[in-house]
Amino acid sequence: MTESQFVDEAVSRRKFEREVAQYRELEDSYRRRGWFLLDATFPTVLVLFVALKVTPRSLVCAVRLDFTNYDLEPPSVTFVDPSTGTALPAKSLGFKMLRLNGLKEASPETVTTLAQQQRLSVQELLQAHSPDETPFLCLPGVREYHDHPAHTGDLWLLHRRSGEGSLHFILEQIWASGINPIRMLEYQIQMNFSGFQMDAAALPR
Amino acid sequence: MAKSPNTAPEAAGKKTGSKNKITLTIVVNGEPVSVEANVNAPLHTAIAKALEESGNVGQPPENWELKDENGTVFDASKKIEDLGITAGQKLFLSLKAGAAG
Repeated sequence: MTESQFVDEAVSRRKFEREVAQYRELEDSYRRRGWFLLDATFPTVLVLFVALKVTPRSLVCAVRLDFTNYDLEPPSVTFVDPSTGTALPAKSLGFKMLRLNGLKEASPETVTTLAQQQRLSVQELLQAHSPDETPFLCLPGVREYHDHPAHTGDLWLLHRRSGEGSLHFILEQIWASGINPIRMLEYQIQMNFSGFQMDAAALPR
Repeated sequence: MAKSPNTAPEAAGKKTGSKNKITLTIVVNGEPVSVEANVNAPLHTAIAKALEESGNVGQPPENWELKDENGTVFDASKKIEDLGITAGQKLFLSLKAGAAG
């Protein structure tokens, strides 16, 4: 989302710099979680997320946070191609951000069993109206959530002082719901029949 | 977000005078704060201190969860000692995301 800066830029810039400075202070810890801050130039931050619990360790996504008009408005969150910065359509993401519905007290074994039985109720936090559209993170504290017509009753200003909408908060949600649960790489292999193989020794002589 | 003048991440790992007390570094929504905790007290006592110390009073304590670096959530009703939390361990106090979708 591109928007003009109507808040005093010095204010947004200072708050942006504070967010980035807090991140830098904990950068070693974040790196051990697979977060890599690639660029922080007002008003945007670009962070790569790597899945560390799979072999080979894999780049899952790149996310751009736009702090234009921060914090009269919350950051805008876009998943992008890390090489070009172009927003990715939903069909190109390759990962999901999920939250379990209920099951607060359920053991990991129970959750795994329900998942195997395909009886798990999950909520998708990344929403898109079609596979070709840019998905948005549907969470309070994210600009796209508060701008959505379905959430006109849940104003950002009701959340602004709560801790939601900070750089750490948003990255934490992406990591917890989308990156940290990744345990395996999933492949689809398509095989084509190309003919029969014969034992030459069995051929008539 | 109010900043506390008492933040001291470098204090992690220091044993205090009492053998039951340890100093923890708790990262509250991205901001490290130093909290003195009694190992025999439930974890939620340290959580309350960390929230107060960092000025995060906009959400009730039950809207926060304490995790280790790997994202494992601790049971806040259990004793700090029983959870295996030791001085020097960096903990992350994260706000639970609100209703989504």
